[in-house]
Amino acid sequence: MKHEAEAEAKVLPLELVEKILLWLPVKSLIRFRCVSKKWLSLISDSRFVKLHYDTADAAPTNKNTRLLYLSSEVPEARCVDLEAPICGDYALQLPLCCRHFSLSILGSSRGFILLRIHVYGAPLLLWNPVTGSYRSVPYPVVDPDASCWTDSINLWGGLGYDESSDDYLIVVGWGDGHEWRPQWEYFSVRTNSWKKIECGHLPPHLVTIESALFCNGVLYWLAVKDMEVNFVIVAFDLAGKHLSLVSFPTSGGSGRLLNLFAGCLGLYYLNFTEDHQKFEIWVMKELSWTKLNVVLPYAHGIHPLCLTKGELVGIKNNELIKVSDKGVSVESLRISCRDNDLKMVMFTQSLLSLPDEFGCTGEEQGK
Amino acid sequence: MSGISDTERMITLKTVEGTLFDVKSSIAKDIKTVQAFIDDSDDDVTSPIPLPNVFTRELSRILDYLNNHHRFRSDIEKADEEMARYDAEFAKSMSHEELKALILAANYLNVKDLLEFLNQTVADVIQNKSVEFVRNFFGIENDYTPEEEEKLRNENEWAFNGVEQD
Repeated sequence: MKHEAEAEAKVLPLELVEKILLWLPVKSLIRFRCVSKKWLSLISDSRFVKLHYDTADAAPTNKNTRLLYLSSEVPEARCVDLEAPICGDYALQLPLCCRHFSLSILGSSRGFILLRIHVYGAPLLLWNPVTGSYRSVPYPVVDPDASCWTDSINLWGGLGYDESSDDYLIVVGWGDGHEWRPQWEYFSVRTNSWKKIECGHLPPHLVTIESALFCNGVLYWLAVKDMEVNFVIVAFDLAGKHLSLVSFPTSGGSGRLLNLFAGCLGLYYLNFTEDHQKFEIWVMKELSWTKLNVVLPYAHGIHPLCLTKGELVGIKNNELIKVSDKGVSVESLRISCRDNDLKMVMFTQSLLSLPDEFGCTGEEQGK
Repeated sequence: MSGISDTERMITLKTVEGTLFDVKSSIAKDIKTVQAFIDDSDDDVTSPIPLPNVFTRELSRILDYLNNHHRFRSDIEKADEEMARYDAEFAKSMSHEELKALILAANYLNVKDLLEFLNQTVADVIQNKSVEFVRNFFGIENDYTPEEEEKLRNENEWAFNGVEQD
């Protein structure tokens, strides 16, 4: 059959190209900014970027989820795709202003990482490792790195996104676990200001022990109360701006760890009461806990990071390990980081930029 | 709304080459451009509807896709599995040029599900490919100076790791 269409190569108009690019992972889009200037401006367009984030986020598994960690050997952040074979990681440049200081990761949301720089006078940093852009945010109180703060004072934080106001909120809390009542404040990126959070109803000596997890409009921390090894979950609702305690699904057991599962708050629960130790996983759906029907192998000393296709990825000492449902280690990768001191976080790569502050002229851009 | 029956009304479509296709009205509903034409006509459409931008090869593919998807949907039990198998075969059966031609046709005819599926198919093809492959695929001319391109690449070196051979 005659077919005139074959004569010359078809050229798709840009509005159709855009619909194709929406399905690509962030990494491909960063690379394809080099295709042409038109593609660069399309891929940088804020409307496209938002649409792309929402498309990826609506998929059953987000292709852009990565583990990010701060290298203990060189001043750089490194990234690993835990969904793919964990055969390698790659470096991402840290913002210049924090390359030579000790850093910790307080939280992450929609592609942004909240970094704390452990040096007097340094602000908090909100950083998008993919685009390299960042913004500094001063502390609400006395600089936690000032000498008048003793080592006994903990500062913790978290980062979340409030859809109703299209605003990113940084939450920080600080306390010493016994004498001081903890205080909490949140920072709105849109209004560029801190506000106190009412916390009189919380236990008086609460100290959180891990970085925050953000899901479905709520920030969660695992915390210790009353100077005992008595765990609770603290939740901050971003829309309502209030703190509350979430109870555990069961009592007893130990080794609790919070993590995300398919967009829900997940809880690893190490059960010692059976013949042998095993992990159980609970997820929070519509404000109640559901036990997942998965049996996880208990590999001694492994700190679970995520579940992918029935396999558990965790970290043990300085090795990432993928464990099959039979409890056999199927892959591993040595990384220059240990799971301690808030040096790693699961994050979703995005091309998003922060909303403009009121009255803000020009913003620092990292390279 | 009537289900598929022997007496279902048929609509005739005419491609650029003049080939005629008889289509069940339940299938035509998924072809929004055709449905809009029918809705705008005062009387029953009896003469063939001309599709001045659609070639025979593309229309025949689109109808094959729609017919099969209608069939799968009527059999709930195996629907997902068979549909996935069919879709994979459908995507594999086309060259890159055929894929682009079908996207243009699906876009003109406004067949939403198919267009989304084809967009995802192209995304899967190019996601691990080089910049040069993508320029070739879409027929795009490089308008960067070598210095500009070098600079962009150096700033995002990590994104060039693990790229497949063209």
